[in-house]
Amino acid sequence: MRNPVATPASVILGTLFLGFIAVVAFSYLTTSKTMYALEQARWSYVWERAFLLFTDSFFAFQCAGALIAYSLFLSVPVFFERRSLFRYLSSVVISIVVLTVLFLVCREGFAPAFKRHMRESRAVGLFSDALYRSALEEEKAGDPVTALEYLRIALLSDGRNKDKIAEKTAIFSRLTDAQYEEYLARTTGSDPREEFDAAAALERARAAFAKKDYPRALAFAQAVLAVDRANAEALRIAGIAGEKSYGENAARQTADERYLFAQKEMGVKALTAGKAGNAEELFRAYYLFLDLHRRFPFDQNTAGYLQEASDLLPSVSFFTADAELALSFKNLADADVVFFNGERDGVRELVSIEEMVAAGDRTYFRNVEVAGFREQNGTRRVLYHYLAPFGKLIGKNINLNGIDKAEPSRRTTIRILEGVPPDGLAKGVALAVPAADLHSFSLSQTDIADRGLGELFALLPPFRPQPLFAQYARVDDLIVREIALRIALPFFLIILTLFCFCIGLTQNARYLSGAPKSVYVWVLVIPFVMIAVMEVVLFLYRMGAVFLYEALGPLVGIIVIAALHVFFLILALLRFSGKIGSSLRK
Amino acid sequence: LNTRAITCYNTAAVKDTLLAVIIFCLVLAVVAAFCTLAFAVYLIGSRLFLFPAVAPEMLLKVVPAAFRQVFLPAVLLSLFFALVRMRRKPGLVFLSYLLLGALAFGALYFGPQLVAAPLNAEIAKVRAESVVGLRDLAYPRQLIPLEGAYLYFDRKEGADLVDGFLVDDARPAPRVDFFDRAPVTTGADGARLGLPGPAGAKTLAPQAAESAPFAPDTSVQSTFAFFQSLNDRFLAFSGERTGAALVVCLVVVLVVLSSSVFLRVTRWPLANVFIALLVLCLILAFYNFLINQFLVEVKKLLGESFWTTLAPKGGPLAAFFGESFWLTIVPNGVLAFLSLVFFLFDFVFLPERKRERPDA
Repeated sequence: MRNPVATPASVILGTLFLGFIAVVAFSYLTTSKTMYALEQARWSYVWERAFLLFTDSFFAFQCAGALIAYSLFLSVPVFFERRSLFRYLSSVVISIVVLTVLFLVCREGFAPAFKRHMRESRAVGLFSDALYRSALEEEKAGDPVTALEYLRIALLSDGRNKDKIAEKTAIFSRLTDAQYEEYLARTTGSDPREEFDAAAALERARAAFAKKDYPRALAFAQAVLAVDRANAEALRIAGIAGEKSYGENAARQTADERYLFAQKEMGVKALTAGKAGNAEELFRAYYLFLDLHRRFPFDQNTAGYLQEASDLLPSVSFFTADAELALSFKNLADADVVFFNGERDGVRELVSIEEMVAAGDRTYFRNVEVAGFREQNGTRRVLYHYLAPFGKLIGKNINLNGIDKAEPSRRTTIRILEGVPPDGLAKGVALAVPAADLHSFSLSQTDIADRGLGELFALLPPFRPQPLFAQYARVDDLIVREIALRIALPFFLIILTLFCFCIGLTQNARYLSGAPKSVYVWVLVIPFVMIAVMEVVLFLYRMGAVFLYEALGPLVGIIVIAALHVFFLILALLRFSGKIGSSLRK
Repeated sequence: LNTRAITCYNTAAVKDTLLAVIIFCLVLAVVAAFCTLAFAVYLIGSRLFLFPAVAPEMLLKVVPAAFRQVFLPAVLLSLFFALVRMRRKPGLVFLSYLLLGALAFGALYFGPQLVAAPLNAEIAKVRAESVVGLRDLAYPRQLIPLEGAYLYFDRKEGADLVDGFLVDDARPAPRVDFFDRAPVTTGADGARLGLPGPAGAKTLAPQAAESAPFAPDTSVQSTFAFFQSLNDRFLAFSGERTGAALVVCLVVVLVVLSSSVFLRVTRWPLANVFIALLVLCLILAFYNFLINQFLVEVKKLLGESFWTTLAPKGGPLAAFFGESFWLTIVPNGVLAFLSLVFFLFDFVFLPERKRERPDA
């Protein structure tokens, strides 16, 4: 033995280890700070990226190790009996199988999980980065409060990012008192109008007084006095406004009270109907109480009803501004989600969604197009076809009632393109498919290749009562094809390793007294040349296998692919045995 | 006894020389067949949109064109493999070199002339014939995911799709177009669905998951682009059938032959193979650079008139080299010079060490 390394498997393991270190170093050095990776997830990003690169290069490293093993480090022992030859051969083959199992565990076990985690942290990172950029733009546009709000959300997921923290601190230091109050009002999560702010009320009392709106000025001044009885300015406004308004506004006050009562009565009726499930009445009640609350801010009943209506809104609608904000992050969007939403009474419903963004526990949609059609006696009739600009997933429905927080005229409604939409649209489109599956129905999702073998099996019977993609042509076929190729790949690795052993045995070094150190440079270079070679080999392998599958059909294709693997495996084993067996002394 | 020994040695050497030639021919046949098949598969998969269940005759139709495209790399690779084998058992070295060189040169010069099938015409012909059998149109009453679209139809009548719809993702909403009847035609850019009304015709292309196995990723693409560029130049010259083709074939063969000197850099043959391959790739990349970038810039600097000064149109040089006098002389001159240097090192400055002293 010319080297302490004793077995081919240990040479291959050594090559894999060196390759892994090199890949980790490469991943660390090429992970730029400007990348989307979250600050706190940077190390896991570097590690996961390195692991995926290593898995992709596993073939190259293993084959390079196999080439080097017998060509430089090992010599074939001399065998004097067949039994010891077979023992040696079986030990080599078993070690190769064990290494291949290691590849399988990396490729099908860890890699899909890492890919998923990287995808998720990428999505969060992109979201945080987009918020950061929006904050910078808002700050430049002169709206530091919105900028701070964006930065606050961005830092929720990227709390250790120094740039974002520095920007937030800088904006904070430039805020005026009023802006700070506004920021607080926003970040406490409650509506500013519900909060009583004595200074703001006094300011409004002053403004009303200046406009000679004495009843309003009086109301605001009295509200200030309720919390600050010694406020001189409020006392002065209350005194003058009270005196001025007493006589001339008595009649108007009575009219206002009557109006308030009538409107409240109407609102309560609408609210009751809304509670019973009538979304339209609920919207009416919400906007009615909102208007009343603006006009009579100190009426406690109105405030209570408005709160009640606001609490009920999320069950039947969403704020369009939230949907617009979520959908503005294009990088997070699943594009072109198209699916058949079940079949009821012979009517098949098609749903086409241009974009879908899942932000936290909320999922928003852009351009939801729904068409129902009936196919009977060889003819097709479109019963309805409509389009909604926005939607939100609420329960098991795609809700289409986008409303504006303050302006009823800016509500989004469906546009009917053909026919008459079915009843019950107030709650939205009732999903006949699990909401969690919507993501898979996106045309932009080409991640079948990214899923692990177990996940791929889980998409098909018997692991699933019905295939996920039963209504799509070819998708199940592509999954079966992917599974077949994944199962064949480890065998291909064994075949290549055995052939590489044979090449190594043919091209073995001719040093009598140990190789010079300069030669070891090539031990380091060969694995990296092999990466380029293996990329071409694996591309040709995959292309050829897919072609066979497509050309011959699934069943025959799989049989032929399997037969070819068996043939080449036997050939490789015979060739390797022949090379090793040449040293058998009879 | 000496005479007998010499005779035995000569017989073995001649045998090894002949073996080298036979190995070259066999390797060339295998490599060319493999590369041609792989390229034909690639062509069908990547350029024949929605290829139907692949009939053997379709593969056969594309084979000649594929053969032309892969011939240069196949010959160079085979020559390299033969040289690796020859270095172990060189036989009569000069004769081995001469025979291998002559064979490779002959194959390169005459090979492409044997097959004159223009690739694009063949592809267009196959596309035109595959209207009816479009594979993805064999799925009535199912959503067919395509590149940027979803297609659905109730049934197929001839080349028409009946009672269906197309969700065209490239369009602003509304994107669903229902149709009662829409004809499918194939043209140079693939299959097209003729929708009634303002929607018009829509090109149908396979979804990414279907075409991905036939689309090499960036690194593989750059490897292929390297050979593609070399091959395009070679085919352009060989199409002219002038002196340029002769010079290119000769020089390329000489470079591969001479670079075999790197097959004895160390006493580790495997490392030598990698070294020689790397050197060869570098030289050919340099050759590509000279032709595609350096000479183009020089031409811009010096102008067209200088270009024709040495080889005026109608003159004997232009007649021999065609339109590409400078493109032939400069890069091939550089390659010829490198070959000469390598040959000098191989045979004059560092003649081969004797095999009886393996650790010398």
